[in-house]
Amino acid sequence: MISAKVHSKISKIQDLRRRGDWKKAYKEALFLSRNHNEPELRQLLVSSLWGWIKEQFHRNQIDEAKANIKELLRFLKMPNTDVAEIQHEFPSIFRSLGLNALLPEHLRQDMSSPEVQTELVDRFFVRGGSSDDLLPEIRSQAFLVREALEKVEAKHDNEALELLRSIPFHSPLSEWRLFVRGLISYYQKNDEKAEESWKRLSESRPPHRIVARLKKFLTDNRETSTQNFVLRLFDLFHAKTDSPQARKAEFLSHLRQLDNYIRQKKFKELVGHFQSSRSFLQQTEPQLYDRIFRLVYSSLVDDAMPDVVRQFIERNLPLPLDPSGNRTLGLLAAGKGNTECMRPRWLKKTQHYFELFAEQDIDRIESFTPKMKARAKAVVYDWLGNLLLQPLSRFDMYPDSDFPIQEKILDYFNKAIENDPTYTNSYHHLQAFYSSNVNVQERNEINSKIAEINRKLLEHVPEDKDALKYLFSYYLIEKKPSAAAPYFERLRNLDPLSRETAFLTRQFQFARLRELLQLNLLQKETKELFEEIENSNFETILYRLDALPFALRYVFEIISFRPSEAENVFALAEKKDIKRLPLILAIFAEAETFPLPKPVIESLRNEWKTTIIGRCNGNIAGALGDIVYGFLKGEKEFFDSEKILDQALAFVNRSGQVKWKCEKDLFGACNVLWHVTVNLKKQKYEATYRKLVQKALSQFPKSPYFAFFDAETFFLEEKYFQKFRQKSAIDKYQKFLERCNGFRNDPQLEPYLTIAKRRFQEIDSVSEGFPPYYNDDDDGSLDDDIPFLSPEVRKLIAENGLTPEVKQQLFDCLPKEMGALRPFLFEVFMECLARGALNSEQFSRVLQEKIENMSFFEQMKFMSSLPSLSGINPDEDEEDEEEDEEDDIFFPFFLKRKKKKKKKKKK
Amino acid sequence: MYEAHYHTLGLTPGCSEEILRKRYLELVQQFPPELHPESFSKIHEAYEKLRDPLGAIPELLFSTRLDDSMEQIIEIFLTAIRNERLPTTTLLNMGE
Repeated sequence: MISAKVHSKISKIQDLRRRGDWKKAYKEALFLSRNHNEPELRQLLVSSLWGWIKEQFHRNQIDEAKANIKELLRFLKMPNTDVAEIQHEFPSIFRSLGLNALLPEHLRQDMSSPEVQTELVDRFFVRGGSSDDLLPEIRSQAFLVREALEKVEAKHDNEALELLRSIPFHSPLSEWRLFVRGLISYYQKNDEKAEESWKRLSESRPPHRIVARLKKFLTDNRETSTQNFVLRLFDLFHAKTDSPQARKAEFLSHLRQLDNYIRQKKFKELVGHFQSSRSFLQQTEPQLYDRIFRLVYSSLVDDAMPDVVRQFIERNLPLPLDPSGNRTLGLLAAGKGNTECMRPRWLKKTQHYFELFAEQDIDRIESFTPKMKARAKAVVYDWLGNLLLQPLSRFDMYPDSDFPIQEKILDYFNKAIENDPTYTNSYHHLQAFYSSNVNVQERNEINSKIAEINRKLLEHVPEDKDALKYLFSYYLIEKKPSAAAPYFERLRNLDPLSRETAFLTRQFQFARLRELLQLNLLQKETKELFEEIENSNFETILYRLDALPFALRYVFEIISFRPSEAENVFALAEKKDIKRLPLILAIFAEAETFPLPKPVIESLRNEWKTTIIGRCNGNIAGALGDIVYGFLKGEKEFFDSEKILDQALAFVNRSGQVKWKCEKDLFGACNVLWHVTVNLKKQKYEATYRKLVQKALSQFPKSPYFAFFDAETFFLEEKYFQKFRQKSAIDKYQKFLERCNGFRNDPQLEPYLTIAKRRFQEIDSVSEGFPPYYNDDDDGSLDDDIPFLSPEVRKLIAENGLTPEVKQQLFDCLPKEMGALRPFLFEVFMECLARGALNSEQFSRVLQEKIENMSFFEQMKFMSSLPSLSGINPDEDEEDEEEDEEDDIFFPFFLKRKKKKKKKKKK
Repeated sequence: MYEAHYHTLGLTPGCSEEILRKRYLELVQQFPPELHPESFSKIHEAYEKLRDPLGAIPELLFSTRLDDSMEQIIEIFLTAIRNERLPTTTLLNMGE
């Protein structure tokens, strides 16, 4: 009879067994059995021990299992020990442990039986069991299959297949052979063939189990997510520490953690985690380590707080391309190029760090050759010069500062050139520096300085095209074609057959002609030059380039006292489709430089007067148009030019009904009308302009010029702020750009391309509802909230729209005390306009949005700019502890606040 | 961005000109322009940028933006694993 106490202990033991805690169950049963010998208890004891033995076996605790089996056998010897329920499991485990001899006789099986051999074979592969009990033939086949598996692992598939050939169908190894064949197909990504082998596997044997698990990966294999596959792989194997799989699993988990920290911007944690896992990452995947490092570094520099970045720098010196960390600190201070809002304090820090980097660190960068070091220094100094140059040229950031900015800029660029004279950017930036902020009086001096810079550049980079072109143009403007000649020759040699060279040649020829005519000598040379021009195959859409040589020829013949030859020039010009009237106009201009006899001038004027009011003709209108355009663009004046040019324009304006024969004529007319209508805002030519553009589009649909003129009509629209008009304009400019594809590097198209690219930005700055705040119902009184936006400026916007000139005027309205904040606040101002209203509420809203969208570092920089504005609206009532939203730091100081009466607190 | 050119060619950043040229020639054979115009164009562009180390210096020194992400690195890592063949022992352990 079992007492209640014993019963409860037995229940406890059964609980432990149910939970799989065999060891404890056995220990409890053993303890209990010392005082109680009931059969039920003994059965519990033996079965718990057997459960523990199986557990140890499966955990590969072989020695412990063997020791426990000995204990089991001792219990089995005791009388009335019932093991009926478990004894069928004995043979398999005993055999696997090599203890077959210890099995009770009635349980022993014939080791040579097929069932036992099959079991032993499976055990050999799966548990790494002994092959001693295998029959010799089976043993050798097992070794072959094992070797085949290793060949497959080493990707020697054909050798593996060869090894499998000798395995007979009836062998216990045939199952494994099928498995290995299927495995080869699986690795070769031939699923169908793998399935053919595997579907024949027996469910009760290990190959089937392996395949079942692999098949789970098979479907994952075909998904885009490789991650799931690998994760399951690691899960399944419970990889041991230090195994290759475990290291890979750990590597992956580190990557994920780093990624999480980056995404969540937890930079302190990122640095900590990176430091702790750094050597592991480097050793496990050295090829990926560099990329990981750069990623971590980049995310820190972009967004982290300076102290966190400093920490990272200190722990990871030397950084790639940054032996002391100065470059990184410089980048932090520079805010990654956001130089428009930089205050002098940040600017000085940037300069400080980058100067140190250039002076001390670049030479220590091991991966740089001496040439690269020189270039790196040049790049850094050039960048510093440019850094200071930007605010100076655009927004006059340091108007009265004692910060020696100009000298510093020069110093930087000169140092850049000194370190690497072949780095052309420095020369260009130096030129830009001289060109900006220059008065008209200083223009000549500046030009000669820039010429000097270009000469220096050519000493080190003899084929720099921009430098050659500058010097060529410079000497032509100086009226020294002989000095321009060597540069012209060098340009021509660079690209003798290009369109650009043809235009440069023509320019040079004209300059040379003028020089010769002024000397009035060297008749032979002059005549030869005229012939050279006439015989050249220079094709151009610009009548003015065709007309000019004839005008000069006319002048030449007159001043050489050959009037009949002079008259003959008109006939020669006519062969080039240049009629008398346009040629006369060209001659008028040249007559300023080369005074012609009064009778000649009078005769030409009379002819002009009578002919200009005559019947309009396409060829004359086109030629006249182009020549007039040249005068207007170059602001060229001659005697009575205003009147004459007006007359010529009037002639062109009458060409609306003309039948046009060639693109050149129509271009000349459209071009000048475009200039006077769109650029000079003379409305009286608008109707003809529009008409001619439409005619041109239908007659010459492939011409890029007319596509451009058509797009430009956008700027004539009253309601250009309407969205559909903007879209239509953008489409038209796109069409123009597409048509330009067939005319690459054509100097004739270049000016229009430049304008078109600028137009995209201009259109973008206009939005629907503009001008929104200029209300027709407005009585014109000032809005108290926007003191600097006067009615005059508003009217300017309403009449002209937001052209670049108007924008500049608006910017100039912003008080200079704002200093570094001006550009930023101007952006806010533009955004408010784009949204339809400029008032204090809108301004605050937009300002707040912009600040919220900044990175932390940018916010910090912005906030540090604000103290410069303090004291402008001092809070008189300092004792008032209530938060007043008008004291919100985001409220723009320059907007007038509605004064509130503050209630004073009772003390 | 500069690193991306190395990635395009499957090279480690900072490799020699010789290795760069060899790899370029290998890839051109693998992706000839007539058959793989887009791939060839990317390879050629990457090669042109990398063979001019002086031209790359401004970007190297002043650009912190990377055309890279941890996701890409993880993907490369996992793809390499997927293409590996399982160790025999590991495979056989799946039969438990």
